[in-house]
Amino acid sequence: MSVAAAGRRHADLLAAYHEQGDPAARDALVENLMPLVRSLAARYAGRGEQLEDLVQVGAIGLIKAIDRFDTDRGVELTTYAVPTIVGEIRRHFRDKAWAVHVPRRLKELNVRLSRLLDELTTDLGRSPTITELATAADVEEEDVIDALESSQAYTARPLSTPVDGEGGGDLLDTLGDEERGYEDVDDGSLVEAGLAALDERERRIVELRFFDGLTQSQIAAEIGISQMHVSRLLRRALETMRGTLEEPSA
Amino acid sequence: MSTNVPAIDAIAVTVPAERRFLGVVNLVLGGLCTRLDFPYEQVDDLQLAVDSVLAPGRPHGADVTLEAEADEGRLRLLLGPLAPGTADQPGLQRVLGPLVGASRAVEREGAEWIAIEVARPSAGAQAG
Repeated sequence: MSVAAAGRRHADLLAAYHEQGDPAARDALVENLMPLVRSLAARYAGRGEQLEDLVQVGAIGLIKAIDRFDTDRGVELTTYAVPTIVGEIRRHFRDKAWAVHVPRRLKELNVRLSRLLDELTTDLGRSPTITELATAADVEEEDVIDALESSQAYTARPLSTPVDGEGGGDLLDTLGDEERGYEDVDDGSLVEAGLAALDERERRIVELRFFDGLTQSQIAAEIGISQMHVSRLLRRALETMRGTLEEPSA
Repeated sequence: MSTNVPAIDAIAVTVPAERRFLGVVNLVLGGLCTRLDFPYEQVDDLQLAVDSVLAPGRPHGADVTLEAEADEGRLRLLLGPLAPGTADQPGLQRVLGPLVGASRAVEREGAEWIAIEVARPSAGAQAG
């Protein structure tokens, strides 16, 4: 089947699924695009994860792409699906990395600090200082700094580089300057692809922090998670948006 | 990696422009912010801002340098050298604005750097 014919076939199936609610159309799309998922998953094989596991993770990304695809955007499904699939695979690696790379001592201290941070923020009516956190945790200030940095390290994957090489910017650079202006920028599909690579919660947190100007503690209260979790999700989201379209490094 | 401490209030750290060394920069930054008694939330925002400025592809050359000057509750940072045009990237500005407020491009020896200045919030401003 030619690329054009495949595109038309996908458009027909998307219309049947989104407009008529035909689940068989979605199944057909998934089946049709699984070779793409396998191809993308294969690029990440050999990094400690089984290929079949990565294919399954990628398939989740594909289903998300199909479900979220807006047929009025005028872009190909594959244009939209690739970064979503890659984003899902990247997220899988990030989630796995926590348990593997962070020493138990720092991980346990980080859990305590996360709880203390929220308690102190409530008690003091402001964000506590590192010294106050150290006192509350009965550890040295250096231990607090070390634990906080370690907790962030697992989101800093070496998989990410900008979209088009040195100095070329990244997906965030396609965001407009106006409030929620990303629908209006010239290459809306790129922005959409970057945001689409995020899950619902990450996307919401990015909007609250960088478009609505809420602080981490305000977002934590809004979403109902810890402030430290907000911090980690923000880093993960920015990393995903920066790297979602680039090829994986060797 | 080389660390130069010319005075008690000024620190310069130069590391290879690789992702795995940015943790060192953030540790130094965390230590400075602790000395200045910055609140955790501000420290975290500042570290995320530095992460964003020094994200892969933005440094220009083999090394990146963080220069920091602390002065009565204020911290002035200079990061670079960076690829030309980095400071003007709308996406980076979009991130830096909410995190650290204003930032500006600085030219030094023909290269682009980004300057950031933050102040410890007053007790009144932090409350609530």
